[in-house]
Amino acid sequence: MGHWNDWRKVLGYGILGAVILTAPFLFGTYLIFVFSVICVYILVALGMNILAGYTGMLSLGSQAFFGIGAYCAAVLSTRLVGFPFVIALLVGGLLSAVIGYLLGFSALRTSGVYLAIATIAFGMIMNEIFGEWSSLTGGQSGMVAPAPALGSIQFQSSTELYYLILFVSVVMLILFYNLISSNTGRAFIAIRESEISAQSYGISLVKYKTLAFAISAFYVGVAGGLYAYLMKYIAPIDFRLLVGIEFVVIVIVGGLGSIMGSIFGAIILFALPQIFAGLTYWQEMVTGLVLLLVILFLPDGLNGGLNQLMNLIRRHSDKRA
Amino acid sequence: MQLLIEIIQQVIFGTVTGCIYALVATCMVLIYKGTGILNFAQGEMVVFSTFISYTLRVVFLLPYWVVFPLSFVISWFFGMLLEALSFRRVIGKPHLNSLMACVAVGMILRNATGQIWTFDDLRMPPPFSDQVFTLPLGLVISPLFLGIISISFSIMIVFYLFLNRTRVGLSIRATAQNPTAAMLMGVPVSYVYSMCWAISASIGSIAGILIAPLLVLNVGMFIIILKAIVAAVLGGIESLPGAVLGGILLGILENLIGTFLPSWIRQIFVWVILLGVIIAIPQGLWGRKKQKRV
Repeated sequence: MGHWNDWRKVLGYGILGAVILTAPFLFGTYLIFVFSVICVYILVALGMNILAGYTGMLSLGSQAFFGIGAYCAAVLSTRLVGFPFVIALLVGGLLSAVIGYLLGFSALRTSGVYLAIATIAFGMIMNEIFGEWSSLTGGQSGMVAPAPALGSIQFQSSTELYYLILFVSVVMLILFYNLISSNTGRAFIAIRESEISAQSYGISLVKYKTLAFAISAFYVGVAGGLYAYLMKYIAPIDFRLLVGIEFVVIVIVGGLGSIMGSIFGAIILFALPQIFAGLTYWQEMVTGLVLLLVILFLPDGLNGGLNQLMNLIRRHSDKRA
Repeated sequence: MQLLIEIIQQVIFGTVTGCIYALVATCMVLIYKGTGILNFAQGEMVVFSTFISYTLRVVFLLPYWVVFPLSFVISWFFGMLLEALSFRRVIGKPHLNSLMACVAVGMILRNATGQIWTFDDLRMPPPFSDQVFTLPLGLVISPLFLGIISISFSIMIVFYLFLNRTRVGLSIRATAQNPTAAMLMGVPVSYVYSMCWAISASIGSIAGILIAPLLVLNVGMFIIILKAIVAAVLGGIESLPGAVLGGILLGILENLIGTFLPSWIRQIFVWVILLGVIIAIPQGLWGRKKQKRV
């Protein structure tokens, strides 16, 4: 039974991997764009998951990091033609991380609802800065983000962009997996379970809470840079409070504290509205309803619900056999 | 001298908006104390009630002395309905869940308001004349401003008496202090929870009628009402007098800063204050520091 299961799993992942790799040859331009958007939001979800899922802190201001990353990529690529995109993404991510690290200190003073409000305030302030610093960001009307470049190579078409984003996402996904299985990841989880017992095991709250904020900001910042390259145009409205709320919705709907949950959440919340374009008018209500139902009935998100369902089916079929 | 008069004028304007912040902040503090949930959906609840009031006034052409009580009563049941459908189930859950449940309800309400009425701007007719008249020293004021201030203060006084002089008020205070002990003493706790939401929705509906004529009535109005959170935190999120003082203080500061400094500073100033207060004095200006037990 176990053997058969493994074999089926390997085949399933193999097919999935092949489809992802050859997607530009199988699907149309629009779907490729949707896939790229999903990859960007998976990165965002991973970042949000570090805070909400693993360390148990709620940030409603992460859209600001998304914005910092996006503006970094756009500004660097505009001012310095042919600036390597990898460095632009890294600069955006690191700048976000530094600011996130500083914001993390507010998490040492407060927690729970207060932290959520403090991060809202941070997001509002950053959004106003994006809008007012016209010489750099183009003000409220926004700015154009040129195509990412690596020396003389330019990533122009949707296929090239897709592979670029896919590559960055996979690298960051692997890093994330390693981080979560490391001592640092376990320290985060310990803090989530009980700050006091974590402290009594010698886990420094100062170190790990600020670190969690910094890493989360790094992920969201890099995702922001990719977003700017993908959308080719950014404005402060892309980084408003409601966007930050959507980020949290992704991880809660998908499932807190799991990588699969982040992936599920990004797919469900960003693929469905893109495919059912007629729904845009109702999107907010649908999102709200899904979120409410998940909070009330599926504490582990859709990923947890799916796992429960699979277990149920397996137990049922075992009983029959 | 001119400067002094300008300052006094801005203090008057600030008190008007401050009263609205105070009303909404009072609702939030009531729910937070009573049920432990910080109501992020308060803004959307207010907007929804205001659209109902708009319909009563503009479509059914009812006079305002009917609209106020009618809207109060409708919102009362609306608040109870929301509590029964959703918020009752997240009481005592981690903050993440209760907060995001409020966000979810807010999203649903926001979209529902737009679908039922409109996503465009509406003009809410003012309940009192907004023709300004000039006082000595060149200060200006309108009956609308006086109406807003007096109605807000009357509501807060009645609410204070209700909490401190009636049996229902006593049971709300008991539940806020310790729900388990209150339950053992025979307080119908779930009824109290329901009452908290009903009262909040009702007071919010009045706040909505009062503020809408000063702004444009649209779905996006919730973001202005969200500033009441700042008022509540400023005053101490568990202190009702703190919410009132915090609201008025916020309104006045906001107007003074808006007059004397560039407009973008006015936009971020509220949030800078909020961040500062949370980091420096999390218990707020009038709150009491909480001890955490292991």
